[in-house]
Amino acid sequence: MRIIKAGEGEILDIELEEDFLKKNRQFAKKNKSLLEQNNVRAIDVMGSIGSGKTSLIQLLTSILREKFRIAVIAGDLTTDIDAKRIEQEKVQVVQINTGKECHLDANLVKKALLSLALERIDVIFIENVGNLICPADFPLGAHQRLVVISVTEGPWMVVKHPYIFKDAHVVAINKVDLAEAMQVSPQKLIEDIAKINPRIKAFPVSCRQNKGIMQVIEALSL
Amino acid sequence: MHDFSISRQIASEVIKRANEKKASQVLEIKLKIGELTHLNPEQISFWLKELFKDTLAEQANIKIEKVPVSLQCKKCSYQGKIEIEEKFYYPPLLNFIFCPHCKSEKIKIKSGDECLLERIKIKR
Repeated sequence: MRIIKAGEGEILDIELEEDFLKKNRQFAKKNKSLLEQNNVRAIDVMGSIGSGKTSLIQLLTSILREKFRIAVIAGDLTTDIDAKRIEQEKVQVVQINTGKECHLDANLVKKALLSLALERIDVIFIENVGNLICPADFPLGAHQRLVVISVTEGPWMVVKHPYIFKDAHVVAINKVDLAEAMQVSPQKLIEDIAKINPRIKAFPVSCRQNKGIMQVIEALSL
Repeated sequence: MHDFSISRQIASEVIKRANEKKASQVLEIKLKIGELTHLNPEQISFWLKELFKDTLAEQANIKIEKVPVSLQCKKCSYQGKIEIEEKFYYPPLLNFIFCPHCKSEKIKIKSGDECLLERIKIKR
C-alpha cells in the first residue's frame, strides 16, 4: 500500500465552514423547542441601562402571577441586584452573569432554562444585558421581544439606536411622568419607532405611576 | 461591540484546528461576514491580529469577504439577491425584508446573516 505522508513545510488548505452566529441561532432554536415542549412562553426583554427593564418585569410579574406561573432569568455582567428585586415577587429567578460579554447568548440561556422546573412554568421573562446593539445579533429562542426605553434617554434615542427595534414586537416607553421635565415627546418616539418597524406596538408607560402596564400585557397577548 | 467576543471565538477555533493538523504556522484565514450582521470586518481584522500575537497565526493573512443579502421567497419561490435601496431609512438594517418580486414578507434569508470561518491555510 502506498502511504503518502505530509512532509515538513507542506502547505494545506483546510475547509472549515464554521459559522459563529449560526451556532447561536441553532442554540436559540433548541431553546425554543425546549420551551414549547413544556408549554412555556418566553419574552426577551431588552433596553439600555436604567431604562426600567427590571421595574417593568416586576410590575408585569406582580399582575400576571395571578394568572400564570412565572419565572425570570436576569442577565447582567455582574451582581445579583436584579434577581433579588424580582425575588420579592415570589417567583422563580435565575441570575446569569455574563462576565465581560455585552449580551446574553442562547447557550447561557439554555443553561438557565435547564436549571428551572419548566414543567411548572407558564411564562418566562428573560432580562437581557442593558445594551441597545449587541442583543439584536443574538436571538435567545424567546417567542417575543419586548424593548424598554425611557424618555430620560433623550429625544434621539430611537433614531440613534435602530437595531434593537428590528426584531422587536412590543416597545414600552417608560418614565413618561418625566416627559415634560425632559422636554421629550413620547408620541414623537412612537413615530420614530414606526418608521423603523411599522409592525411594533409601542406604548407610553410609567412604571413608577403604574401607567400603561395593562396595554403592554395586552400587546404581549398575556 | 461584540466584535471582540466573536473574534475571540474565531481565533481560538483557528488555533485549535491548526494544532489538530499539526501546523507550524497559519498562513491565511478566510472569513465571510454578511451585510445583515452588526459585525464590522475592519474591527474583526484588528482584533484577530491582536489575538494572534505570539501564536502560530501571528503572520496569518486575514481575508474577509462581505456577503450581500439574498433570500428565498416562500410565496412565489423567487430566489436571489435583494438590492439595498437608498430609500431605506437604515440601509443595512432591512427591518422590512420582503420579496422584490411579489412583495411577500414570508421569506427565508439565504445569505447575508453569516459570520463564517470558511477556510484556513496552514504550513506543517
